[in-house]
Amino acid sequence: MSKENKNIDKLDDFSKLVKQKLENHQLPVSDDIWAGIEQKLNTPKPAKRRIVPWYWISGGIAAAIALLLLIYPIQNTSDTTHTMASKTEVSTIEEPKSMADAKEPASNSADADFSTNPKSTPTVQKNAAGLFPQKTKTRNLYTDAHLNTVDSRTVVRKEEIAELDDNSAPKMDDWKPKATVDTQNNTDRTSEQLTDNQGTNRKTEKIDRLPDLNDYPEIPNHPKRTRKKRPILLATTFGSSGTVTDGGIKQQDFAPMMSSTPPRQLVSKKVTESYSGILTPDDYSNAEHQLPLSVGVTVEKPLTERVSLESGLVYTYLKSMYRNPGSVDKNGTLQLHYLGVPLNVRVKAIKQPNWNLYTTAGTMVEKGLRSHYTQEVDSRSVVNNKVVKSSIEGVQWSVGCGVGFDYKLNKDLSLFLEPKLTYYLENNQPMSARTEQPLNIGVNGGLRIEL
Amino acid sequence: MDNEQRLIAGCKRGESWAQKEVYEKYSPAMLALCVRYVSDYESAKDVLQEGFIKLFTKIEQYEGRGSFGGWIRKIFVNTALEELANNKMLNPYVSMERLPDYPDDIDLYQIEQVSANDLLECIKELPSRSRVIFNMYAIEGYTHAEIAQKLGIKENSSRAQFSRARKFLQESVLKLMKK
Repeated sequence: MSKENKNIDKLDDFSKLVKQKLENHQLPVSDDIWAGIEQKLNTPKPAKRRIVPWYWISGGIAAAIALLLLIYPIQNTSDTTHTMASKTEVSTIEEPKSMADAKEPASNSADADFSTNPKSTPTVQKNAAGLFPQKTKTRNLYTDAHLNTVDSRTVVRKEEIAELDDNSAPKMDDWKPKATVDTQNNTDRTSEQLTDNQGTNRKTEKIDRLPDLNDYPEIPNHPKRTRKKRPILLATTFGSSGTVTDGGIKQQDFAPMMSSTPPRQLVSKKVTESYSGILTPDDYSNAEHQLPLSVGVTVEKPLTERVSLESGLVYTYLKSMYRNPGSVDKNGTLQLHYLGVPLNVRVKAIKQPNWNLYTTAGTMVEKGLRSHYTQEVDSRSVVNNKVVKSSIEGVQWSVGCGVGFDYKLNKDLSLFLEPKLTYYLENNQPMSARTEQPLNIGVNGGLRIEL
Repeated sequence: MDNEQRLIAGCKRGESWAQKEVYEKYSPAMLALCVRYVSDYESAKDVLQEGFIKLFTKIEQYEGRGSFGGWIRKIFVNTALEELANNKMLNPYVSMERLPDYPDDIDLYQIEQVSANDLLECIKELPSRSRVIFNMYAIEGYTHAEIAQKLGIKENSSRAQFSRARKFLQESVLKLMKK
């Protein structure tokens, strides 16, 4: 010990003598002490309270930003395409001749309904076909116009119409008869709704206004909310999860797990049977599972003001290390790559201008993309290495729920954090943190952009 | 690579054969150390067990600076101090104030005839705190400043208690020799 001589010069003779006699004094040790030490060393560590380190969160945010930067050009391209498509659609629907033709069958019947009358549709297609290649779109938009379904395209169309050249404007007068027919459809509804108010004059006024394209979206008497834009949200996520009882990396003995889980596999049974010397989980005494890491891109489609549906693609990386120390030292590493499709329902619990608190619940199915397993058997004299790259059979299902918080950074961009609880079903997948501890708690974070 | 380096490397890899060898090599001395600090043999066995578990789980922290034996000794001293603190055995009110002053004059030749086990029995009779201070200063080589920091006392208090402990021990030895 480095301190041994520090006080030696200061010590009195008596103390020196005591030191001399007792410093290296030994007492016989009973055997049971080693047995106790050995047992404690082989006992798995007690569960620790899970703490999500800040570097995970900051790493998640950084990864999300990186992903966002990667996908942003694609998103812009998509937007451009969408705009062009809208223009085409608009120009098609704006063609007065076709629309005039289209309205004729309807004018024969005041009850004509383009959305449900199959006879009317071919007429539209036929007339539009000769003029525009986007005949289907013509029909769809025409139908949309009469149905007045909730669709953001309606808004786009309105904007696009405003951009049309002057030639198209006079032709819009041709809308009148169609609009009249159309209104007749709506008139029934309108009159029903206005009867209480005795609004006959208003009904007429409404019909007169129909040809005005600026009012076009207002033809139906649907409530105002039907025209409200609900943007689709695109999110880049980064997440990680661990077991409920353990903060992350786990070290476990195999023996206690054997009874509660089905036979586990490191590589597919086919590979194990075809090639000799591939170790199985039973050949190892210890397993250490690293925190699963996930990155993904999801799209959220609002259904109502508070409820939305979310789906997308999520990539997950799992890594486990296996050991069996001894005279023959065995080490193995298994890396698994999964791609999953989540489907979640999200309900906003608290909605504020700058932030939202929401709950989420759903399921995810994941397909294993690749398994990469390496093993090393060190028998002191010979070291044997094996590498197995194989596919992963079957899929992994999971269900989960959680709460989330998102904070609006600007008009289109928000930052979110979602602690979640996930349960992985037994789907006979290669051994990983999920198969050993199906109930995981994790956190997702990322950026959400309004499209 | 000498045998100790081989053992350390084996322990760092978690190999049980290396752990067992380290245990067999150091446990008798460490048990004697534990008895010196906690005085009770059964408690000393617990400290010994706890100390070895710490040793094997924290062996990655041993960087090779200083002797391995010294590093191990430090682990056991700290474990013994934790045990005493947990059992409130380092209570400052159990002090040497009660002890009478004994003369310094003592025949060293006579003391040399006393066995280590007898000396150990005398040390065990010291109050916990003064026993710890005596052990740390006289045998393990800690300075009073280090002792004061570890025990949360003043340096002068450490000095005073060491002095009194020594005198008490001398008297105990003298009594023992008279028997």
